[in-house]
Amino acid sequence: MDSNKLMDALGSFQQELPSEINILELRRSSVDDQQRRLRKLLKVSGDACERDFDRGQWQTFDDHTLVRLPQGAHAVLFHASGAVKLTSGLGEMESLFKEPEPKKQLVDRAEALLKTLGLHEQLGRREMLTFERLWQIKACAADRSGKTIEPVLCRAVGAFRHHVEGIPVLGPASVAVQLAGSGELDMISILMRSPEGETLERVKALHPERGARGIVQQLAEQFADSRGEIQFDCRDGMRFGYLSLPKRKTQRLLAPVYMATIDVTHDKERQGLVLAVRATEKSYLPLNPPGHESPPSISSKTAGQRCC
Amino acid sequence: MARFGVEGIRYFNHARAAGVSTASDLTYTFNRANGFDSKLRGAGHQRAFYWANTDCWETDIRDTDRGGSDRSWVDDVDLFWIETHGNHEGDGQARMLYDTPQTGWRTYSDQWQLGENWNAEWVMAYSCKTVDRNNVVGLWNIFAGLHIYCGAWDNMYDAWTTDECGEDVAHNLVHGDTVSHAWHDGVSDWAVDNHPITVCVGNAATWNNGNIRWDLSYLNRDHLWGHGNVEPDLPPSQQACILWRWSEG
Repeated sequence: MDSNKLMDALGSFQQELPSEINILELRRSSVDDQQRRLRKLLKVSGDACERDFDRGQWQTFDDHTLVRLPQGAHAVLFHASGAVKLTSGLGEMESLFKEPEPKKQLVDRAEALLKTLGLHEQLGRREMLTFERLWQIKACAADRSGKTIEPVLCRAVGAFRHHVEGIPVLGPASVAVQLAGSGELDMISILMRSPEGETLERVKALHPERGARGIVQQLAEQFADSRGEIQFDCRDGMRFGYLSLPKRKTQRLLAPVYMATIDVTHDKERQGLVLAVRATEKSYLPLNPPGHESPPSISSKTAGQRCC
Repeated sequence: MARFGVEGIRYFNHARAAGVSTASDLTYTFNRANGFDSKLRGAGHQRAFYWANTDCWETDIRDTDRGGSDRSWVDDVDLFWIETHGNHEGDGQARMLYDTPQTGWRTYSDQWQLGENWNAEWVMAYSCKTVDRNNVVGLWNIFAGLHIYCGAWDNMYDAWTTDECGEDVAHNLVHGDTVSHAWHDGVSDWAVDNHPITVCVGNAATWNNGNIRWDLSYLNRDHLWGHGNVEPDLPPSQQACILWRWSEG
């Protein structure tokens, strides 16, 4: 492994680090509170796409709430994080864009829709949402003779990043709004973990070089018994920020990390990894947890048995 | 309801020891596969098989006519989920790595022929780059009745940030989303660039002299059995076009 080259890529770190960072306690919301917020979101989203989302069938399960809405729309609320996703029920290949649109125009549309939904107004004093990335979902086709049509734009997705005290909260997109061709809302997902107000500790961030070394160390361990030429790339460089765990996981506090997306090229295979290391001396979050194993109940194929 | 099968490979120590690949072990293979499996079974769908690590063989997806046993495994279920390392060949064939040579270490999609007289409607491969976006027609031969191939046109990330993807895809499927949407939405968190792509075939009415009737396509119309419409199989003689849908950021 060429760790020097990777260290260079990780070390091209541009973010300005605060001299001290707060370790923040996160707001703990009851399911009732989360459902109240979801009702508000359904109301404004329904208004935004001229649909009646006030009426719906609500079902509460242990870990999530499901709301079935008119015309195939549905919403799901994840109790562990308060994350929500609302899907409009539009057909996958319906309401396509009539022609490609400039990226700037799509971003403007996504930002305007976000404003309509009033999400900025729900943020606390030390929080903000900024545009991060535009995604486009496209489709294409070819016939038997190899004739290929021009790609069509099906959906545009504006991804936004939540910031707390000026620090981005890394992880899945904090907010993603998916637009259909008519400009209407097709999907919105929200995963924002907001602080309660309490600062648990005030700490210094580790130097970025220590973050980079931690990431290189993890890679060295993972590829310890790989013999041969392997290429590692870190196109976006290393990032610093608070971390939000995925939506089905509970989280008690916000603490900073260094994070990097690594692309690995082997002779025949490709691989992609996202690695995070703590950016503080003390460990606050369960980073890079060990993966699950296969279910113990499954039997061996060589024993000539099927699992069920 | 649907019958489904799962194959997940987390460890590649045999492939590495044999000098077949330098690819490392994966970490969250079974977070995704278990999530997919439990969500579908929880909704009443029947798991036909769940093979792990060295119990996953390249012959499971290889056509019976070509010495494989797809008739007993991948082509015996409606929906098949696989996770392993992957890539594609220069001619657009998908290629995936196994950790045991039964009888090869890799599968190549020119040896797949799914859906024939059997069952396979949908294949989902959480695996890097099994579709060449510049040569999607290289996959055409796999559609012998198969409706949609769900894969990736570049890297798919193995990370704690993507460990819920399997459960998300299955959640979407059992809540009435189309199969294509379930894949795109389920493996995307709009932060990690997972490059999902769904590929299907269509008839002459769908091709419509190049003015595609997207509304008629499997992408728009196919749902998991029990959760909405499923279009009839389209035999190769009626296939006039191949269609694909992808996300790019």
